[in-house]
Amino acid sequence: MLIQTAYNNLPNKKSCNNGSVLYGAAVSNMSAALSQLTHVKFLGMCNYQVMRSTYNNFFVSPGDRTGVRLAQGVGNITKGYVESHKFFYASTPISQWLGVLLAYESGSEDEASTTNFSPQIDINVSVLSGTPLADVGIADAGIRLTSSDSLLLASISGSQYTSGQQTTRVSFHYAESNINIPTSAPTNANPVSPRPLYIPSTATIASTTYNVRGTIVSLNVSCQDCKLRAFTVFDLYQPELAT
Amino acid sequence: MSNTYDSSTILADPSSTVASKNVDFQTPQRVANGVNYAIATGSCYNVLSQSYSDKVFIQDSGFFTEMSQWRIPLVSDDHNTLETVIHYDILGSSTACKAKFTLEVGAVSANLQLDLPSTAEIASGSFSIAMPSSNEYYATLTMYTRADSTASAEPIIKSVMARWARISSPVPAGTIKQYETTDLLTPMGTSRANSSNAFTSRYAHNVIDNITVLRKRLRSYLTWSNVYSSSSSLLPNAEDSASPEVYMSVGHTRIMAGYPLAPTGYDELTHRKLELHVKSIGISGGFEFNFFGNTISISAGAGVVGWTIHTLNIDYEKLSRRGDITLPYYDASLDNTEQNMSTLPSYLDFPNVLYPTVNNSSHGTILSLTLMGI
Repeated sequence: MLIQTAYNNLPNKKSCNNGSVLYGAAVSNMSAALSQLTHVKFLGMCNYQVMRSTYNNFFVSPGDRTGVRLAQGVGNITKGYVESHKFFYASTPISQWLGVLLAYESGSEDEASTTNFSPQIDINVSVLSGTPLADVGIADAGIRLTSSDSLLLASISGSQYTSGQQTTRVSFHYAESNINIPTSAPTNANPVSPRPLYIPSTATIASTTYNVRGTIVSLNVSCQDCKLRAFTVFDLYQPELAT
Repeated sequence: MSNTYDSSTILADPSSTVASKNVDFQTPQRVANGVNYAIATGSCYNVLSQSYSDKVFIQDSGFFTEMSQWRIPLVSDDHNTLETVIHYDILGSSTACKAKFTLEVGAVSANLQLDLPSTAEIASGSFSIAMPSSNEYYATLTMYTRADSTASAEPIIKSVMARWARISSPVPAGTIKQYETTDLLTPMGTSRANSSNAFTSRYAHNVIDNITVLRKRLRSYLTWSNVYSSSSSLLPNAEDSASPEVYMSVGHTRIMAGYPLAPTGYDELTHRKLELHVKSIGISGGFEFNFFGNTISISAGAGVVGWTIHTLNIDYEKLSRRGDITLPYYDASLDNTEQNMSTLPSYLDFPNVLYPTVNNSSHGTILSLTLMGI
């Protein structure tokens, strides 16, 4: 069946009163409105802003702890720089494929063009279990975004670290997982080229089967030659579903 | 009668009730199931999501120190358990570092403490709140952390999330207040829909009322709080730690974004649809900034710290172009405007004190921001 995205007009309640002749259209309308709620409005989402240091060596201590983001770029990305993140996502009982949209800041060739950067971002899904929750293993080995298919280099080095000007010399870029839903559940053991992340119903890890869909999962992100600035995940809308 | 739901049978095919087809019980039964599912699970995903890098969220005090504060939307009176998960690190070795949350809904509050042992990296827990009888649609969540000053161990928060726990199946009998005393949800007995008899008037009225109320249920699109009182004795240099974002500033333009959903029919809805909740330090004469094509006005009040609520209109020119995400999500961000460049702290003018210290230089600044909407 098709899943409408719009908030349709609901039937006039009087048309459903006792004594009124009720045709299928009213029920059809209600079921369409309800599927819009469950499969459009209430699709899961999380949106993380990644706070970064506001240290600025342009100012003298203690004023170097500025507390303000003076330029869009954070800068200070050296060749080989790595960082990792865990973003917790409360998947819904119908979460299956997740689209990823992220903002990042890349290292780049310096002004003398002497250093080549290869920004790379890996994302996987791991299972959380226990009290308190702990990461027990991978549910989807996930994807790798690289400069060859997704990631851009910054145009110039530098940032608020190097300039007293108000200008935003280095900016951030956006990258995405893409939304083409594969025909089957992924089985890759290592990150593959960008595709939606997968939330399986269950995952068996070290001979123990865990529920995954509907639980809080960890989206693990590893960055190289770049810094993450924002991370957003959407349950992907599927316009046609089997009842 | 049982108000059960099963996520595998919530779709009732609209085409099953058109001409030439027999109407049987499966369609109304699935509608009842879907109503219960939507009541129980709708909007029960992240209401708070924020992450920290570069050791900006660190504490060396042996006492609980207030660090951040957010606004989050509620789901309903029956969704009264908040689950929280923290990713953290401990500088040093200790089992005595802790985090604490205080949740306020109207005049009611509740607390949760989480242990942050250095032997782990994830802390989680949940706590319930007795929802007040007053009409409420948002909560204020405050986070504190505490170091182990005896063992010289300092907690570093790396990410934090929260969500309202779902109601498990079956949904309790009786009506559920969503936000207003007039917004009542009626869970539906799925076993009563399990026969091929006439479609009752009451059933149809309940379905239409439930859908109408559920359309008002809020989601959290963007949650950002500054970090204040960050401090480290082990890494005292500003370059190494404790240099968080305390004020929203010119460098946040465009990247401080959420993605509200506004499909066809959004304009025809007449209830609360999209709000920006702002925590700010007031200034005499007030100040303005631009967000998602809207001008947000903070009224006058020199040095007054508080939350204000602003209704937003959808800026239809900002349909998200950040990737094809298949639904009409809009790119709601801090705009790159002259107004923001002059209002927000910049190289030319930024506070010489860090909140919670307030002086004239920090008047007219933004401390936290939440975008919530349907």
